Amino acid sequence: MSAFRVFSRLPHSNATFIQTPLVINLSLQCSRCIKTSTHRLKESPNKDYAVSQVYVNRNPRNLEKLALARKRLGWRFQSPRKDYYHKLVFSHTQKHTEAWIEHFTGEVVLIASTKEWAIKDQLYSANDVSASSNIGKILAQRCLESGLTSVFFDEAGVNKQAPRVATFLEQFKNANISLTEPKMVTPQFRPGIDYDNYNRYAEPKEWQEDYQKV
Amino acid sequence: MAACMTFKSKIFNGSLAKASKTFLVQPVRNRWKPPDRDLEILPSFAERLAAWKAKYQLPASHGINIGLKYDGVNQNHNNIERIKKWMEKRKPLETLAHNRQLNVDMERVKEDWHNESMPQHVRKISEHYGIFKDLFDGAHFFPVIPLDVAYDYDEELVTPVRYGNIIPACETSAKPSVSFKVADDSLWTLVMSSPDGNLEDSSKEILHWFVGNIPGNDLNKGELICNYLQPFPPKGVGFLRYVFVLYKQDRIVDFSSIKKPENCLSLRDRSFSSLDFYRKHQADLTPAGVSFFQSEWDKSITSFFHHVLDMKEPAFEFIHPPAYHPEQLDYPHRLPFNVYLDNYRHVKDIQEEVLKRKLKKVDPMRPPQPRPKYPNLDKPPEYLPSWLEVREQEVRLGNAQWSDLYKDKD
Repeated sequence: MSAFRVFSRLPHSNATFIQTPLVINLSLQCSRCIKTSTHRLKESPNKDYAVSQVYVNRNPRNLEKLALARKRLGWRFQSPRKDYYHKLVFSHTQKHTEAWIEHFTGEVVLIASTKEWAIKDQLYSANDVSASSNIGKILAQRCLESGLTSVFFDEAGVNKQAPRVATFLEQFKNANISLTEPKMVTPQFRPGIDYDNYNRYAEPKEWQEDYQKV
Repeated sequence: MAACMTFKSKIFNGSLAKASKTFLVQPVRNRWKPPDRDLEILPSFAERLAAWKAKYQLPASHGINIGLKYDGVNQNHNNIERIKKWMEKRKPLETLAHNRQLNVDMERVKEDWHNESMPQHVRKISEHYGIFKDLFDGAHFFPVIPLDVAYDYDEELVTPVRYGNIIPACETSAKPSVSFKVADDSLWTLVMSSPDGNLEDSSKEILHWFVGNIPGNDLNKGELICNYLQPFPPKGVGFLRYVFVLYKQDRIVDFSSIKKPENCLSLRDRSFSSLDFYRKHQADLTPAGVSFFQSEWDKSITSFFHHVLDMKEPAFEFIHPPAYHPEQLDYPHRLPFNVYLDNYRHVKDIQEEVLKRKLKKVDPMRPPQPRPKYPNLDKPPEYLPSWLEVREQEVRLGNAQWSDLYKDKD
C-alpha cells in the first residue's frame, strides 16, 4: 500500500500567468493546471466525480518497480547479499538444470526447470550447456511476461565465465532484462521536524503497516 | 571492608539473617545492581507470535479454492516409461546439443506448459501480484483455461496480455481480441477490471469491460453488459493492474442488475467489486482463467481525461514517510550541537531562515546569477568559528535545507 498526494495546483487563464504569492514553505510543489473549459464540465458524466485527495495504489509490486519500496540492507560485506527485491538464482545438478526468481520474502515466484517435461522433451540432455541456455531463454521470457524487467543476480561465488552460467546469463542479456536492480530511492535529507502535522518524534519502536498517515 | 560490613549489617540486620548469605558490599559509588528479573518477565516467542498473528491477519477467505477442479499434473520427472521414450526421441539432437545450437521451440514449450504446470505457475504469480487478495478477498483458483488476450499493435503485430507484463497505455485504446479454447455449448463471462483504478474509493475496482453469456469462445455473440473503456492510469502513481477474469457459467445468468447504459463513461457507475459480484452469482459462476497486465501514465491519458471522460486530469506525487527522531536529549553525548539542535527545530523556522537568506541575494531587476563552478574556492571574507565556517560551506554547496536557495521555481 502506498499513498500519493494530489499536487497543489493553481488555475490560470489562457494568456496571463497568475503570479503565485511567495510562500514560506519552500518545499511545497506548486504547479499550474491546464485549463479545462467549464461549459463542457457542466454536461460531463463525471462532473460530480470527486477524485480522492490521497490515492492508494494497492498493487503490491508498484513501489518495487519504482524502487521506492524499502530494500533489506543486510550487512556491508554480507554474502549472499540481501539488498534486492527479486533475485535470479541458477542451479544445476548432475541430473537437472533449474533457475528461478526469488522474492526477498523467500517466495519463489517464477521457475523454469528441466524437471518440467514441457522443456525436457525438446532437449538432448537436462544438464548440458544447451539446457542452461534454453532454461535461461524460457525464464527470461517468463520474466518479461510477468513484468519483471530487472532482477538481481548475486555474482558472489559464481564463475561467470563458466559456459553454463555464461550462456544462461547471455539469454537474459538478449531479452533486455537488467541483472542489477535500480538503487532504492530515498528522500533528500532535510533537518527539522514538522510539529504541526504527523511526525514520528519519539514514537514507540514498533512495526507499523503505514508510516505515511495522510 | 570490615567497616562496610558492619555498616550494612546494622541496617539490614533482619533480612541478612533471613537470607543467611554473606553480601559483598563494595565501597564504590556507582555500583552495578542486578536488574530485578521478576519485574520484567518478557513474553515467550510463542506468545509474541500469537500476538503478531492476531494483529496482522490474512484476508478472511485466504486458502479457499473457488475455482474449477484441478488436481495438478503428474510432474514425475523420474517416470521410467517417459524417460525411456525421451531417450529414444532425443537421439537426433545429439550433434546440435554438442555444438550448442539446440534451441527449443518456444511455441511448443508454451503449449505443453499450458497442459502441464501453467495453472500452478500462474496462480503463484497472480498471488505475488495480489490479484486474489484484492479481487476475491484472498480466495484463490487455478486458472485451468489459458486466456489469450491481445491488443493490436499494428496490422501485423499484437501486444499480448500475459501475467503482469507492462503495456503502454496508448496501445490499449481499442478493445483487445480475446480467445480461449472451450466447447461450443458452454457459457462464459469475461470481466476486465482494475483493482487500483478507482480514484474515488480505493477499496473498490473500476469496471472496464463486461461481456456475459458468451456461447463458446465467440465474444461477439455474448451479451455486452458494459462496453470497453481503455485503462487510464493517473499521473505520478506508478503501475496499475488491469485484470481479465474468465468465469464459467453453469446456465444463462441474468446480469440486468449490473447492466450499464450504452457507451457508459461515468466512473461512478463503473465502480465495481469483484467480490460482491462473485458472492451474488457464485451458484452459477466459477472463475476459470485469468490474465493481467500493468500500465503506467503516458501523454495519451491527458487527452483521454479531457476529451473522453471530460474531467480535470488528476496528478499525484509520492509522499515519503517522515523521518524518525528519538526523544531529544538535554545533554547529547559526542554530537555536534548545531547539527543536533537543527534536527529538532521546526521545519517552518528552518525554511524561514532559508527564505530570508534567499531574499537577501535576489534582485528583481536583474536576472538570477549563475552558480559558481567551485563555490568553496574562496574562504569566507572574515574569520568565523569552525562550525559557522562549515555551515557557510554547506550553504554555498546547497546541501540539505540550503538546496532551496538555488531553486528558481517552486
